[in-house]
Amino acid sequence: MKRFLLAILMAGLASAATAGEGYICEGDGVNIHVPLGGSIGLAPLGVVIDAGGEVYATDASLGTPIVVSQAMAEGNKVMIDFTDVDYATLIAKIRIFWAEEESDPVYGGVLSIVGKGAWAITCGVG
Amino acid sequence: MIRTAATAILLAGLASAPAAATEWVSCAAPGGEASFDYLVGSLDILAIAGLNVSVGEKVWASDVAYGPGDPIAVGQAFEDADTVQIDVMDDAMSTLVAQLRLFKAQEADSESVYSGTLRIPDYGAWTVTCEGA
Repeated sequence: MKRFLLAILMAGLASAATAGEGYICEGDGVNIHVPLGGSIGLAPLGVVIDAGGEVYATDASLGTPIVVSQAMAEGNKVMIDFTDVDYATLIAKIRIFWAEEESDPVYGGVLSIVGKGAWAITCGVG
Repeated sequence: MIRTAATAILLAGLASAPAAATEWVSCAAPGGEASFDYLVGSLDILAIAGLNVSVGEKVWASDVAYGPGDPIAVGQAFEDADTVQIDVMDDAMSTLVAQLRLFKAQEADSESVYSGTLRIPDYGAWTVTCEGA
């Protein structure tokens, strides 16, 4: 049931991203959505990470609760860290490079879930 | 006799050591549109011994020993705990040919993963994932 609700949410978030509001990332068995605020700099509004058969989300009803602890977009790099809700333990890291050459930007990097695994990810921004 | 045999064994070991100390890292776009392969040593710094870059039918190589293509050279290259960044120049070191930017990660018992972007000026930009690192 939770997976079904997650799928519906991810679909909804994906359509929001195509409106220019977030990163949608995919990897081998990985799906990530990071909706973004419109302020200057990188301002994640939340996250849903489905990786390694486990879901981590800022909405605790969707999976293991996490929070965005720090986020930075600098040059051609995007770096976002997620911790537990007490900001005490690092849970996940997203690291993305982006590049463009007479085309829409492309985004590629890695997702790390501490103690669980690491995956190559490809992302898009709506 | 023993000394001669020992010397031969030592030289054989030394001769094979350099080959074992280098490894090709092969990066490719998901659809195979572009690729970037680099040969690295086992030093703690990023020491690149060879390069092959391709997009479509266009290919570049740092040495004919590594394949056909227009000549290229390493412009600047840097690796730290989280990233690999390589700029490739033409053989005159005057024009940028390709830029590889990778993040790397390893957790638990998983293999290290290397993934990021490849930009080839005038040709395009792609996400890439690498093997052999």
